Amino acid sequence: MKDSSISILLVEDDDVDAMNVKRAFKKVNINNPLHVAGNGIEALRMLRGEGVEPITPTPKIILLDINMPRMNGIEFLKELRADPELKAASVVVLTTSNEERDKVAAYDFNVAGYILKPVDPQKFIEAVTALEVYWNLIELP
Amino acid sequence: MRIGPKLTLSFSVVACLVIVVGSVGLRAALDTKESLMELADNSYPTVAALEDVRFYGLRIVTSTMEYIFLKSEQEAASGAGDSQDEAELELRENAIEPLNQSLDRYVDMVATHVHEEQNIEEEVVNAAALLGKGSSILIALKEAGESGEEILEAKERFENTEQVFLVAIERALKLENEEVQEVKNEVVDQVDQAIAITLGVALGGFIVAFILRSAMARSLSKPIQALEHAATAIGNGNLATQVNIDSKDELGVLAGAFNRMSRELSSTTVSRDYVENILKSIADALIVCDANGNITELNKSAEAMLGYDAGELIGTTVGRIIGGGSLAEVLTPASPDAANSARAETRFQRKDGGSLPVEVSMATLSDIENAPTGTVYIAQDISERLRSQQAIATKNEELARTNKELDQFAYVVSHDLKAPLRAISNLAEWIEEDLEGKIDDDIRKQLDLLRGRVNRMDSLINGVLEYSRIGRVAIDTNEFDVRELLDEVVDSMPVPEGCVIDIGDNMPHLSAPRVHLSQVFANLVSNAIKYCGREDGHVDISVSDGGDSYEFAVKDNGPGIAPEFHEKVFGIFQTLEARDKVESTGVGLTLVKKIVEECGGRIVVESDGENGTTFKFTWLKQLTERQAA
Repeated sequence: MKDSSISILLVEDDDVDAMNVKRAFKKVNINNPLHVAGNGIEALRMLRGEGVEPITPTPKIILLDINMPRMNGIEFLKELRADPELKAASVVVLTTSNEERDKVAAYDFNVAGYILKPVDPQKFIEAVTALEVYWNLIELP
Repeated sequence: MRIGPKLTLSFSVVACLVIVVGSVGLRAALDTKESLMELADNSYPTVAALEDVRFYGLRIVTSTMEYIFLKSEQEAASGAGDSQDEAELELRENAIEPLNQSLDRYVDMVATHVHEEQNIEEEVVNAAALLGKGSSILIALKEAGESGEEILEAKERFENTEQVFLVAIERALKLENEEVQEVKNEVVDQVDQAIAITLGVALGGFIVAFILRSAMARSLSKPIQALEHAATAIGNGNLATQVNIDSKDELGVLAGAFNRMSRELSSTTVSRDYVENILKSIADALIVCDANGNITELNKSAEAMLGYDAGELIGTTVGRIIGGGSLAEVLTPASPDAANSARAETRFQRKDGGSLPVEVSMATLSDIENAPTGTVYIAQDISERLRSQQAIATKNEELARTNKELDQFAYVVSHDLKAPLRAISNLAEWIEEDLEGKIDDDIRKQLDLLRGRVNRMDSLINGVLEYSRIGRVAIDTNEFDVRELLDEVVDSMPVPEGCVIDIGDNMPHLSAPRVHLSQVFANLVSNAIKYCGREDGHVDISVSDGGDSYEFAVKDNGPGIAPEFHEKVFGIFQTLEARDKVESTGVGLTLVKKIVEECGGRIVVESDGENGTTFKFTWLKQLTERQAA
């Protein structure tokens, strides 16, 4: 990414999926700092610095899984958009849920995109490449 | 013999008897009259004549005696009293004529009736003649101035004659009296006889009348009694009652008509007993009301359902037990053309305060002029049915919930299966990447196989997900042209060179869940292409109008499906070819069948196993509410 200082938060409970993202980032040369939270609550704590060191700079891009323990992606989005400090973040949903109601709920909270996790690793690389192009194209606050 | 002549005969006999009795009495009266007339005409004049004879005879005697006496006195007194003896003579002379007349009358009267002693009138006549003669002799002697002795002698003889005369008169009178007595006895005898005969004839008439009465009773009363008994029997419900009267009179005719009537009645009418037995035996409650809605009759079942005795309800309003008085509001016509009947599901108000769910059928009774005369309610206890309906509804809800849970389960399971599958796929990829240059071709091939199986499993899971989505996720109904939809479907799939897909010209315009129909065609067409197995593949898509639905057909010229597999092809995960040969999940046709049936249609496969396969499915023109939802 042209601005490699922008940090990215990945909210994902599955380690292999997290690894997958990391490997894909490496493959397409995204060298921005990547932080991983295991669920929505942990992600909020990390963003707000509750009980942990807050991430600095605050991530402007969040990759979000939907199905997670304790606080799922949709619940997290609700909290995020309600928080004036955090609501500007660009969120891309990265999930296995092909449920219509999840898609509708996610776009209701102004997500930048909704991507179904492909099984084929090669296809995931393609998706991450597209994201990199997108992130380079857009201007973030 | 008919009743008219029979009665005429009977009355004629009685009338004859009356005439006989009357004539006997009349005869007796006439006889009596005749006897009395005889008495009046004969005996009394005879007696009167005799009395006259005696009177004038005695006058002659007296005047004769007086003359004799006076003459003697005159002689003693020397010629004095001439005129007196002259008068006595004149008196005597005057008596002779009436005496003779009386004698003639007597003789005439006696001639009219026969006496036992025929000589009595001669005796009287002779005595009278002797009396006259003696008187004349005595007077002649006196006038001749004969001596006292001669006179005394003559006088003595004269007195004897007088005695004879009086005796004769007495005898004649006695005879006449006897005669009168005889007539009197005769009359008494006649009257007695008449009384006896009249009584006898009257008694005989009474006996004859009594016998006639008995005969009439036999021929009239008995058949009438038999008819009366039969009529009573019919009245009691025994409609087949017959009377056995053989007579040829009007009663016989009446009995014949009666028997015909009872035969007709028994064949065309059912008796009240018969109907009551049926009503008693039916399990449904039956309540009959008059035109004012007051109960007039109810059967045992109604009593049992309501908990009342019939006596407690008869005369009370039906609203007290049915529908709480608002029956009219819940009634609906039984059928559009039956204006006088209706049915409703309502409740019986029981005596114990409880209520019983019933289905009530109501019919209005009307007379010949269509004026309502009452209402019949037939009520069926539907508590069992309601319980069953409730149970079925509960079971249906459970089933729907279970099905939904099953779909949800399939979705969750397959979704959760995907995560580790993806992880396996990723890890295999990374192993290959990390060992780049250090693995031989065998390991690479095995890793390729591993990824291939992972992909197949992914497809299977996707199939299950899709399958579970049908019916779980509502699909919007849109209006679309089937031709356009088919073009899109064909465009979206790889069609090998040489393969021809024909789409019929008469594809309809539909309002339906477009996504579903699209899935159906996509699966059927892709199967047709996939399993064609020849260079010149041909797929023919056609439609025909089946009334309330369309029948679509997808026909190929492939190898066909043997009849024994026709059912099997619709089973989930069923494939006819090894998956290694033709990559397939075995979900497609299962999905198609589920979609078609969810939308109210049917799908069949037609193939002889050699010359291609045709899948035919129906699609409703109008989805029902349930199917649209």
